[in-house]
Amino acid sequence: MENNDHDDILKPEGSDDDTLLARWLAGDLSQADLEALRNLESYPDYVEMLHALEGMEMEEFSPTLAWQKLSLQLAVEAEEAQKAKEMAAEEVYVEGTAVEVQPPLPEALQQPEAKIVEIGTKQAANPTLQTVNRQPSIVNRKWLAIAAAILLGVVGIWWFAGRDPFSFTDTDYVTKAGEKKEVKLPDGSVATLNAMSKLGFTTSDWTDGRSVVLEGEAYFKARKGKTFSVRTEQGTVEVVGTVFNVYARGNELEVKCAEGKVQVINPEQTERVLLKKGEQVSILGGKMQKRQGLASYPNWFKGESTFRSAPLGRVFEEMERQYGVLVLADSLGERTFSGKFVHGSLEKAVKMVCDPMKLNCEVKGDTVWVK
Amino acid sequence: MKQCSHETIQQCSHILPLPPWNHSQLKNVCHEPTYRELFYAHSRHVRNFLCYKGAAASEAEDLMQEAFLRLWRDCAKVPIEKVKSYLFAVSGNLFLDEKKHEQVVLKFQRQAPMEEATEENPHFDLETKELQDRLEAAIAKLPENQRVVFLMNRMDKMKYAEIAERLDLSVKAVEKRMHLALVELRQILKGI
Repeated sequence: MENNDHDDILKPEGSDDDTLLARWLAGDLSQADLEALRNLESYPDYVEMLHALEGMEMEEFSPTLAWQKLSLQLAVEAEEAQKAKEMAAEEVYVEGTAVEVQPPLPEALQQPEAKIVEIGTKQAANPTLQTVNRQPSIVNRKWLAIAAAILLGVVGIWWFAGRDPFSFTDTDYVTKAGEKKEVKLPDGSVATLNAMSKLGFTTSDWTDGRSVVLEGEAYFKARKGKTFSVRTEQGTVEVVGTVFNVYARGNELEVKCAEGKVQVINPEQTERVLLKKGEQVSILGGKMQKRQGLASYPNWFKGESTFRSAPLGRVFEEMERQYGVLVLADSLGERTFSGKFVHGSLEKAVKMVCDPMKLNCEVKGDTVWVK
Repeated sequence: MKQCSHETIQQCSHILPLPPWNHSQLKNVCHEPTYRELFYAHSRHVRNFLCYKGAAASEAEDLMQEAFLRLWRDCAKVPIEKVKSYLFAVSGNLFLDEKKHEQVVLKFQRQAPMEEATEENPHFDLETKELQDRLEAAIAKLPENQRVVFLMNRMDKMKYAEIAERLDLSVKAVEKRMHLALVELRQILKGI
């Protein structure tokens, strides 16, 4: 075997080891190779170049916006394909022969959603169609396309967005009543889950895009990096690297930005709002409301729940989640609550809410009666 | 020890790789949530890849969209494990089909380099801005295949194996391009 340790030190980089620098960047070099590399005259240049590069980034890109564009286009195509199919079907009826629009797929690849596969059938079906003049005039087609775009845009977004978001995650965390959980994400970002919440993500695709799905409430510390998105049924939150709280329950989404900047997008993706430090936004039944100043800094993870002008119903719901109890109230009306309750003791918590509100509350086992 | 027979193949999937027919049934591209997930996972990288090839940002985004549209039309023919190489190949071809590209349009956003950068080389900070400008110009002068690999690794933080998978190259080939890109960048910067 040839010993070329000596050569390694003397030769200029790359003369016969044509992957040295690549392996260096990947941290794959042996101690000896590393030593040799550091002795090279050009080594400081590489270090300098790579450091300068650290501060350079690609222009930002919003996958959510891009998806909106794409799903609109897909919906229009689906409509066109449907039309072509209907026309083909009529044609078949007249001629009494089956039109094979696509070569049959191998058994294993055939989809239950066959309708979708047929997006590509328009051209294939055309040769039979051209003999019969059913095509609307150019003008009509243009208007048809516009109408289809408007109509199907809405349906399309719903169609592509309205599925169980957890069906494609491979790592899910769920908290029970009264439970909190700190979840380390693959990039070192941290999500703290409040009681009765669910967080999911796909580990295998994590390096491709930082994205989690949330049901319930969580406090995020996202490390700096590519866009970090939190998708909920009530809307999407996008950040680059910051600290923020997301509350997504019922028909309400509330996002509080504690540091940096946070972008919130409604489920229809027609509205977006940029939050700066100390701002919050809520989407209630599809309506967006931005508020300046943290109404209540999220500190449920420090052992108490804080509220500012929150509907009493929501306060007691939070109590149910924190203590795993049932709260039975006659009627809370439109009353709102500002204050907090602790997580350590149910008796104390009930007192902290009921006393200032002049409510008559009683704890019986797992049930809290409110009169 | 658990025996893996034909019947228990589902439970044993962690031991045995799933046969391809089974795999495509479990998760396939025509399934809308899967397709959407693929878009969220790869759209940025495909768009960046087109920028690295030399497309302007808006053109890169349009071509990326077109590549995904084609993926949807071809969804029954593209097995899930081939999606990445499909997207990069298709978008690369779309880029080639576009009108000739006279110049590489690569613009980077600037940030001050990370704090640690100063430890190894204290003079670094002073010249950073100027160096970044020269670096941007030098990157544009790299041969395309080196530039693409180099930036996928440096900007998108992809490992060599991940780049190899997407570009349908061997890891060794990716390493070579990476190495060469660094050597050439330095030579361009030094005016060698």
